[in-house]
Amino acid sequence: MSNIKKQPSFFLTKIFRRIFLSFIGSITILVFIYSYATIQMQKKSSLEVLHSRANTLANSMALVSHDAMLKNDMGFIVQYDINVIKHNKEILQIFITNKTDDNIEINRNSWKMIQKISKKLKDMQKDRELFKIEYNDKLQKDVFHYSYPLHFPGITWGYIHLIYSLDSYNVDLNRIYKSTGILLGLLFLVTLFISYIVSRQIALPILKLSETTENVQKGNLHIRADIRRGDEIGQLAQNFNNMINKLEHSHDELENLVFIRTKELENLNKELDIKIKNAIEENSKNEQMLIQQSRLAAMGEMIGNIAHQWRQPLNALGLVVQNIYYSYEMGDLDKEYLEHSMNKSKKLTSQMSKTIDDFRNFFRPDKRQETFSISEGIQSVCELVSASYNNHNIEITTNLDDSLIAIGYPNEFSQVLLNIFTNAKDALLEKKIVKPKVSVRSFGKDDKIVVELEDNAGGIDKNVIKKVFDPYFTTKSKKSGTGIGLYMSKMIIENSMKGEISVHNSPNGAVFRIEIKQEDKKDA
Amino acid sequence: MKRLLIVLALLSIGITSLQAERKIVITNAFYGAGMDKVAYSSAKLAINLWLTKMTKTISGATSQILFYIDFSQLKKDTQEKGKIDTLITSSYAYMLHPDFYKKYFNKGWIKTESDGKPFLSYVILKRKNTQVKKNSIAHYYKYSKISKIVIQKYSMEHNLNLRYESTKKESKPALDLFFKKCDVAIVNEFSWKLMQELNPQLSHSLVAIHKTDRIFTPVFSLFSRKMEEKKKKLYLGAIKDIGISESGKQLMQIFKFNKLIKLNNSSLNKIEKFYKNFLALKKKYEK
Repeated sequence: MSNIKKQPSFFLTKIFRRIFLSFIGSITILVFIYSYATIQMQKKSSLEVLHSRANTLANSMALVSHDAMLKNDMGFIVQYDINVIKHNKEILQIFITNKTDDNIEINRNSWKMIQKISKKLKDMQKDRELFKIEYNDKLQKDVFHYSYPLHFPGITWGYIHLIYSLDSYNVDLNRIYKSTGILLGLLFLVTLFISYIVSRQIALPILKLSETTENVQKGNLHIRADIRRGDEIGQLAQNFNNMINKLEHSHDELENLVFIRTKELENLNKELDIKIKNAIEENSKNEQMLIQQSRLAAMGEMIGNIAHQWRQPLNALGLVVQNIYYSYEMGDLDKEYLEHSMNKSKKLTSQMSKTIDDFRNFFRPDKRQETFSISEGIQSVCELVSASYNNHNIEITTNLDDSLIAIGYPNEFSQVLLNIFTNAKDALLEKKIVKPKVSVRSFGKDDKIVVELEDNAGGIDKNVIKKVFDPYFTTKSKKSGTGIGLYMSKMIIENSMKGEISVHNSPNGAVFRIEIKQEDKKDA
Repeated sequence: MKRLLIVLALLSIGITSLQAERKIVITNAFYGAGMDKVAYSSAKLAINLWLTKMTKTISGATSQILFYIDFSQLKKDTQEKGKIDTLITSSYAYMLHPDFYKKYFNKGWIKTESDGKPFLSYVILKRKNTQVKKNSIAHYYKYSKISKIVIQKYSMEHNLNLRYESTKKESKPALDLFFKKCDVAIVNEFSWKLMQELNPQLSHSLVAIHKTDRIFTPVFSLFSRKMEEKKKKLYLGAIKDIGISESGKQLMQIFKFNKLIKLNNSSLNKIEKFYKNFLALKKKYEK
């Protein structure tokens, strides 16, 4: 186990700040609310004290002046009130108002009779005692105004208005504000300290746990959270450490397991490699076999074509020989007839020999690239298949540009054409097309040679057309097709001749399109 | 009045305290001539209270005050040698028995008023635009015998046959006059000035119709002719130092007097003359 190093900037961590600020914020708000409430209560209390004092004094004044008021002995009232104001330094003014308008205003250094009382005094003259803090125009400051109704049995004689200075009230308030301020300051400092302690208590273990998880996440399973506390956080740390222990153990187990499995996989891979190699070899062999079979099939096709081509000259040759005999029998055989027959026979045998040469050349692999005429290549293939096509009444039409010269492997190119011709014949025969026809055209496009073979067999099924160049794909039965022909044609055109071969459907049937690079005519 | 009594009593105590080591006993007498029981009792109470406080600080000296309401007893004690050293009394008491005072007492001390001079006068007031008719109501301060004598004298001189009503406060007569509770009022000049300052409306409403000479004083102190010189010196020293010592300053501040000055018997002659005139008028009027 290793202990975690302390973080250098603990105070800047979010969690500490959050907890700290939450603590200090909440406590400060509470303290402020409490202080505000306390101040308001103190203010109210101070006001109540003033009220109480004023009430007591007014009661006393009413009691002492009771007889004088009843007798309207204003002199006594004045004398007494002057004495009252003299002995109560906080009283700034006394007003005695009367229903008979004998109103007296007594100030600290003077007194006078007044006829009309101010609105402020009038507003304070109700059936019950009233008090409030108001601005005094004469004294030009805020004062405590207390009014006391003088009720005697049967009559309301008048009112006593006591105007108190707010100096002592303000002094009290200032004292309260000062002491509250000091208290707030002290409380704030204490709160700061306590908040720091509590926040640290809460945040530090969480930060330690966070750091530990980070290390674990990075892969260090040897690390443990060094938190020793008796509370739930300590329990959490303990549980976390136990979890890491289990994780480490599981990790070790897994690693071991992985090692074993890896070994097994490696062995398996080796076996698979061998198997794949063997399979590839076999596939290769199979492919070779298939290619060979395809070649043989092509050869067979060719032989069939040859047979078709030989049939007519052989028939013709037979007729020539037969005609020589019939001419001898009839005594018409002469040198001329014999020479004619000899020439015809030579032509026929030459034709047959050429067929064999074509056959031999056709399947002789090209060793190197060479320039060749596209139209000559197409025509030679047409000759090769003409006998077979004629046999099935399949028309071949050509539209060839004789100037097109390509560079590549002419025999392999011819094999591609032969494969397409063969497929076209098969499709026409399968669909029993009434007037079967195959059109061949060649033309130049930019720097390319385009050769298109179009049949009128109705086209290739759209579900199949994209797969025709896939290896081993065939729509024929296994006996009839290997699925290698068009794949090989694609290999020849794309790999050997760096061209493209594609197929699409026309309104008549399938169109096979070959594009190969044209040889520069200047170099040709 | 009460305050003055206390001042003079304290003076006596002050004097004795200065000479604590000599164990001097100064006997002061207070004669409350014309005082009613309540006023007399409160004066005694006030003086005794201060005495109690002051004598605690004095060592080696004693002071005492004898209270007299009965003139015969005062006379008797005065005639005994050394019984009374100083007498505190009023100008009213003096005018009743001037010969007695002249015979047994001499000089003495009196406080100055707010203008720095001794004695005071009395003012008789009426409301402006009114006439003082016969049988009008006159208000005077109950505890000022002098003010009653003055108003009576005025009434007799002007044949007014005034009806007299007393007030318990010194300035009340003037207020009663202002508030039309009476037709005539008598106050001492300083009270009247003070009242005018407090309320100028009084000056607009009231007018003085008579002012006496400045011959009256509510209280003064006399030395006994039999008083020992050393006691006199102590007393004189205390009077002199009253403005210097802290306790003396406090006394002056509390009881609001500027200073104490010498009083000769001749200063009181005018009071004697005034009273004689009054008696003559009274006699004439009663006929």
